[in-house]
Amino acid sequence: MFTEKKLNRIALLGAFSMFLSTIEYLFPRPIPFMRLGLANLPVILALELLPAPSYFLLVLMKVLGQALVNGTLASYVFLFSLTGSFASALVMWLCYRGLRPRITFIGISVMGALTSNMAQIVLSITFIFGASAWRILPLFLGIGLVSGVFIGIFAQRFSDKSRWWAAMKKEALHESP
Amino acid sequence: MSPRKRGRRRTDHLARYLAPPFRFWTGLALIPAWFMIDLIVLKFLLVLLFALTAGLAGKKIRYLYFFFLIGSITFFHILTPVGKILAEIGPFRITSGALETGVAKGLTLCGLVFLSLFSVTPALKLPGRVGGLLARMFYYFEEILDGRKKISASNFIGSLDDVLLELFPPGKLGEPGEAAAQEIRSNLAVSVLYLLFMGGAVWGSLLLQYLIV
Repeated sequence: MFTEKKLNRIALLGAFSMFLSTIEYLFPRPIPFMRLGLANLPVILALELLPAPSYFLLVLMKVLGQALVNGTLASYVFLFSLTGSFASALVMWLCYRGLRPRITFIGISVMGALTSNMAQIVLSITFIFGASAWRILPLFLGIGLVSGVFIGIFAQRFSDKSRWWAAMKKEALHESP
Repeated sequence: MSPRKRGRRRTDHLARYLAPPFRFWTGLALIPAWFMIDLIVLKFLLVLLFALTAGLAGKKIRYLYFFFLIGSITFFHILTPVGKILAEIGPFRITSGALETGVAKGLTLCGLVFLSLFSVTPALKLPGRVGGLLARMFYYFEEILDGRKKISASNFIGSLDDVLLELFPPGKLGEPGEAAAQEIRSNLAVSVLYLLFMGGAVWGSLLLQYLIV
């Protein structure tokens, strides 16, 4: 199921994701809980490249890698990250497989961001804030919408312009049965 | 990754004496007691200890973020009144039960994050194939970090593309090999002291709580 080449690609995309995560760390946050989600760019791009098992393994690697680098593996942050990432990855994968070419990366990214935020809000209401936190739902979804559009535009531009990505896709295509 | 991390990252002083798996398992052993401590004063003191230890581990703590986190958790708990009314601000009733629960929950979460920060390091090797894949990913991550200076903000996609093409030409992805090997240092005496001190502080606080209450 996982050839050496596939594992290398997963590891490389996971590393790319971790790198973008460190880049994002440099940006100031206007709201403490707000983040752009730059690390999701390789996950969105990987829709074009990886089959389902490899795709979800990449998501696991991304979450584990970030948890190890940031030191959050033994905290609730990991649970939130894991839940949000897998929920959004599943929705993005379904959107890509079911709606392509009628949906762009922007639409896919927005769906993923909203799903991730919804999953994390449900978790935070259950474990941290209590039922009153439903009041912040519109704010969180608004933030998800903005960041989703931004990352989607970025993913679309990268996919269109990057020679490296084009070569990666071409190589993967040649390997497909 | 070496104890002295690259670039702007800080030195992990604990990595000089404590092996990553030891730190991880010690951290995990503290978690049950940490959840069972209810006294806010004890919890607050332990959060300070955890923050200090995370600082020693080279982790930068955004105190404002955690202050905001505790504040927001407390705020949302106050919206549901429980117990004796302490004050009334407009339509809001600040109750003792809600206030205590909110602060305790906020401190618990902050402490858990700090505990994780000093217990988990990138050098921690997870077992099995997932662990192997993670090691490969960290190898590539280091490679990309090496090329980060060539990436410019004005031409972000173009410069990033150049770096990726140079480091990882498709079809010629390098294998991690020896470069992924990490130096693990450990000092038995410091490890025992660390275990006794952290274990004593957290499990001792739990014991103290039962003696007081």
